[in-house]
Amino acid sequence: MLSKELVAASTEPVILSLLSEGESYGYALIQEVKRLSGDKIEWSDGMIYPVLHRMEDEGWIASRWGQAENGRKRKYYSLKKDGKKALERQREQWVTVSGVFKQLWKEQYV
Amino acid sequence: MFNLDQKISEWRRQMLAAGIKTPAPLEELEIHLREEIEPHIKSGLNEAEAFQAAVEKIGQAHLLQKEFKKVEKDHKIIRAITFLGWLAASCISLDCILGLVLNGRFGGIPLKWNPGLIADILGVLLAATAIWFLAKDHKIIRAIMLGIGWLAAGNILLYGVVGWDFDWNFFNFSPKWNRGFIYDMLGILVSLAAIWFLAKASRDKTSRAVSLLVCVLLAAGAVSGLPSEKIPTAEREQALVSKIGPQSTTGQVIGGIVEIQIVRAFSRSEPSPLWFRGGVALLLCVPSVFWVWWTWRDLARKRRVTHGDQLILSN
Repeated sequence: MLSKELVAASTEPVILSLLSEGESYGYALIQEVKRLSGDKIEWSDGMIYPVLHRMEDEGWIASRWGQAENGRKRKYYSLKKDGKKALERQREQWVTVSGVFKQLWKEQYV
Repeated sequence: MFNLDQKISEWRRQMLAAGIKTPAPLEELEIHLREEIEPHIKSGLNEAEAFQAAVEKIGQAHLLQKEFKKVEKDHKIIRAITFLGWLAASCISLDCILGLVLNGRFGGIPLKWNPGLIADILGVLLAATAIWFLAKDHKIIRAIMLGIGWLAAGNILLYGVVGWDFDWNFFNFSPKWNRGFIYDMLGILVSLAAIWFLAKASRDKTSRAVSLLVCVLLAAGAVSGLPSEKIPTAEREQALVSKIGPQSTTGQVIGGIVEIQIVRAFSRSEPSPLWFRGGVALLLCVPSVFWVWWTWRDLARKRRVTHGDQLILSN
């Protein structure tokens, strides 16, 4: 399991990245993160909504109520223009950090 | 007998009691709860167990409420503070800029640094700092404020240089190392420091465009001030005298005499030294250097990140 701090820090870029692939809803986002991380990243389910609402307030994402195949109501989130820019910024930062670790730990994998 | 809908209604009531009163989040949470229950039931748990597992997974009501409240509170407070602060800082800034431009600074002959002018400049700087902190997370306000900052800083730099030129070089070059010179230098240094930070911060298109315009105008001023000043020659005075003849009207005669007097009054014995004109031109070009430096740094940083990104992706 990853530390809470790292999970918290990566929540926004992860959500932005997932939404850059297309609109989605809270439950699906959580499941996708679990799948991608091999169950290593596990968000407290309810906590994703305050984060989504904050990102909506920031103007990064938009929401709309829609209907699922089973007829159930769902709130779908999609990436806005500012969200794409925010993702680009955050991506740059994470790539930089990742690049630093990659170089620092290169010898261990040789 | 376990009734799932009834249990969900109870859970809703608990959420309401904890303070999640906004309908949208609560409805969203309930939909999530139902989505979470389904796979548990499919995996073999009974409804009661599935419900319990889903409730635990979604988190405790008071913790959720705390997070939602944080978002709402932050949002309202930030908006209120930003609006009030922006309003106050804009008024102060506008007042001070108007004071700088209109309050007899450029209208009258005596271009001197006085407490009122210094207060205006300090007011602009303080208001700009306040706006900077308030607007740093609001892109449009930030871009507008950076643009205003550039105009104000460019104006102060120009004022300092003009004041310096006026005190030293208006009729003939005669450097004075007095209080006026110190004020001029202080104004120039403060504006250059402000321009350095503005150039560093101007990354959006709007403020970049305004800053480029300010830099180009200052650089144009630098180029136009570089050639040596014209010295009125005897030929020029003679040409003016020759315009006045017996056929001239009284008005033309008076006009000609006034013109000759003006030429005599403003005549220079020699042009100002090259080092002075060059120094002034260099000072006016400094903002362009800052602009190019920070734009280059920004582009280099972007290139580095993209390159690093490509390396990581290719590995």
